[in-house]
Amino acid sequence: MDDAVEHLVRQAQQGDARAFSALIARYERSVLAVAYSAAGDGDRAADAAQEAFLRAWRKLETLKEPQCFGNWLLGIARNVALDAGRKLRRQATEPLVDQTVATSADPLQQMDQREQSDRIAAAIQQLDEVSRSAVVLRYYENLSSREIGQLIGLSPAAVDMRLMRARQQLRQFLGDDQPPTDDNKTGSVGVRML
Amino acid sequence: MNEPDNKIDNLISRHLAGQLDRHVGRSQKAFLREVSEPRPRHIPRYWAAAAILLLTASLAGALAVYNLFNRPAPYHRVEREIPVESPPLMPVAQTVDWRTLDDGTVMLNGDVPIRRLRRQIVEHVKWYDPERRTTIELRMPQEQIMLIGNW
Repeated sequence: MDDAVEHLVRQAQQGDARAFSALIARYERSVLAVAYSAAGDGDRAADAAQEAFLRAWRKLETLKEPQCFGNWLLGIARNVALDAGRKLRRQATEPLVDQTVATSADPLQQMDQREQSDRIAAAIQQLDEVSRSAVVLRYYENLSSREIGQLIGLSPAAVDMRLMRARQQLRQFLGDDQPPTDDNKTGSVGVRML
Repeated sequence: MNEPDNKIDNLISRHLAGQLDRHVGRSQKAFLREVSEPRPRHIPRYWAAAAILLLTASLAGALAVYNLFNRPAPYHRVEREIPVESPPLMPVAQTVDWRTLDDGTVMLNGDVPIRRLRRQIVEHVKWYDPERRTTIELRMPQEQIMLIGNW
């Protein structure tokens, strides 16, 4: 963690909300990634991330080592997301249809995109939790192995190993016959089943 | 990294971006809303329990103090020496003197003839007070009027 972040943490510990807001901007994508790896759903991950930041703000004075803020924050996010997942399983609710890929007007294309999204989500979910966090942080945040290791408490080499194995598992799960991406499609995620 | 890996990497990146990008900024908004709006103060359960306990103890204390100062007054027993009764007065003499005077016939209401008798009595009592060694005399004069008629 760089000195700027540590300085922001110390300011936030003294009640500076603007400093904590800057920390949110700095860590929001990482928190979303970890929450997603624990919750397995974008909306629930966002709920958990929001709650995690609020909890972190309220408990910030208990953080003794500001240099560990990122790791500490992601731990909170992970716990919040796991708790939310447990409550959700107890309540046995039906998830809402994900509308994020339904930006194309073609219903068939929308359905294909949704199926594709579900397959990828299922492939990520079949990974163990630590590997899942590493994968999401790498593919969503594009963090280096060292940065991922700092956040989830692994050495860079261990992160690389987990990423390599995870990629193998994902390839097996998704298969090698993935369709080519179509980057020229505006308004969609660029995934199209042929 | 070979081409299939690139495809999978691309798929995963796009999938995650689709899932999460739309939520970026939401936490910051929620936080700013949280710190800008004074929310109802969160009272932990143990503080609430402590407050209830304190209130109960205060009420009990107040009740005890009230009872202490408002209880019925105790019966105070004062041992007082009963003075020895003075020796009673000793009657020395008691006499009754009387006489009857006949006023004759008089008219009652101007037309009823009746006879009127007046009896004059004087009672005379004398005591001796041994404590003070004095003699007490009492005289009580009285007059009785008797009307005698025929109806």
